[in-house]
Amino acid sequence: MEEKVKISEPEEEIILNMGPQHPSTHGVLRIILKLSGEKIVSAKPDIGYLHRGVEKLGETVTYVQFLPMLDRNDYLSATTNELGLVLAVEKLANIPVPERAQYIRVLFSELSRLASHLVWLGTFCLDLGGALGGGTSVFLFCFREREKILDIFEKMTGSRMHPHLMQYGGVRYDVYPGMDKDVKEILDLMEERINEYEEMLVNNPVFIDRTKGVGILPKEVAMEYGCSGPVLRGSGVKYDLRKAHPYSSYDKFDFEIPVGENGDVFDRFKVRMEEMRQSVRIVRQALEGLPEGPITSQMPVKVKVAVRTPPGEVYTAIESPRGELGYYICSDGKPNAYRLKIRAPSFSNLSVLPYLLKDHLVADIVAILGSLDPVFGDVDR
Amino acid sequence: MKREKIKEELKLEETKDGFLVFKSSEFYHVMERIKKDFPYLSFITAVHFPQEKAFDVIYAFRNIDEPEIIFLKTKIKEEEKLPSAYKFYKGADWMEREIYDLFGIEFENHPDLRRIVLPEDWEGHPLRKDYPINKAPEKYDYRKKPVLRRED
Repeated sequence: MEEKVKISEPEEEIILNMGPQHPSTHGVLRIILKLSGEKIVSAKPDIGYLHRGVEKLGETVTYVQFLPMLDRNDYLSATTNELGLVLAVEKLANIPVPERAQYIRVLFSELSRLASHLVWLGTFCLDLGGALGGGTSVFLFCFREREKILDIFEKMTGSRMHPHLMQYGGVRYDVYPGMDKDVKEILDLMEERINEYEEMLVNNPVFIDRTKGVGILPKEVAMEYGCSGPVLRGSGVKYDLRKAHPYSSYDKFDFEIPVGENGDVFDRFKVRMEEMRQSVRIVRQALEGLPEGPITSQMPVKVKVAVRTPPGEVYTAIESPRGELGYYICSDGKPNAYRLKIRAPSFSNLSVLPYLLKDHLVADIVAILGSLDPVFGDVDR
Repeated sequence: MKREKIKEELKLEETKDGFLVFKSSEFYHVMERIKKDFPYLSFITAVHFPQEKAFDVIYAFRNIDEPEIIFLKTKIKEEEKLPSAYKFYKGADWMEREIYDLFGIEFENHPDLRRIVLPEDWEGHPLRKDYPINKAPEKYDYRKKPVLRRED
């Protein structure tokens, strides 16, 4: 990276311990930095502060009991977390899903993608700090809009953050009367606001200075590390699981995959902003084309039916707001999994951090970390 | 399809769920071939079978240009070591550390094999089937070992 500030030669290397109580480490991350002056010689991330043993829990409780726990795994996009496991079990046990349920799944996955990206945008700008005209203003704007989306979740399922919407064979709740009006109101507002925020940020010289040319991730490195989602697409790889391996009738929707060019922080920002616009498009199509019919092929979950799967192995992956979220299940025919592996997108995306931080200045850490959008419930599991 | 090609070239057996089985002694040969067509490492994981005293180690790779996924599987004994895939895929660093942490499988030629999600003095490997799950957790005492060490 080109040095923007002239720094005199330091005498010796020092070790700086950043986190886990640092405000911009998104909760619980500790980075052991080796510094030569202001420059980072090496960085060692230390994770695991939020490790709850979700995979071990998945082996001890039944599939039906495990589903609401997944809401707490990646707590910013609960519906996509449930969708992944539900698809894996349905594939293994051959449970059919009615088309109406598939559309409702798409609708709420995209709404939670919007909500999740809004949190990312808010916290990212908060991390970059007061240089953006007031510091907390973008953060508060984003949370104001997100609250409106969470209101829809609350009206539909009774819970804002942990909806527990999915069920094996369909969804638990049908859309309530008048929902399309509520959602359309938000979509109109969002379209306007996304443009407003982008205009506000890309015309800010301080924002451009801190993001352009910082944290460049080449295509080949991103692939080797298993980066996915906006991090991979920001590096110029046109790969989205919704298009590459369509699930839950995503092939019936018309949307674009935004890609970046240089793979720096600014490109990852651009990709996420464009993704929000595409999500708005998908939600509109899902509302218009919502087919009639039943919402589930199984008995309601209130009647205690143990979902059993035949012995075997399965892996399904979905595109969560952070990237490839996959579930590998090894089953021995019981109502609980023999082994359940969660392929967490944040884990792989974060593992590229030592590569990205090398030779950058200390002030760039928060910009690079924020652009990876890690959720630590997802990293540590 | 590139998957079929690799299956024929390396003479791999296929399980009923579509996982290709390879011998751990041929590890480097297989990885070198896979890297050519599947440059994206998706995940590595393991499954413990206490009756057979063995592990299944599972690798998943993706091809980005022509969307395709390939699953590989190898069986190793409990005390056996496995070569590290770090030489071919840098992302294997953290994934193998996670397996070492939770299963206790050791990887040869790994650059930095330490525990990743649990504290360094944790006893046992939780995702093994013989790990006692009703045992009360031990408290981590930072006074016994300093949190930050200079040699890091």
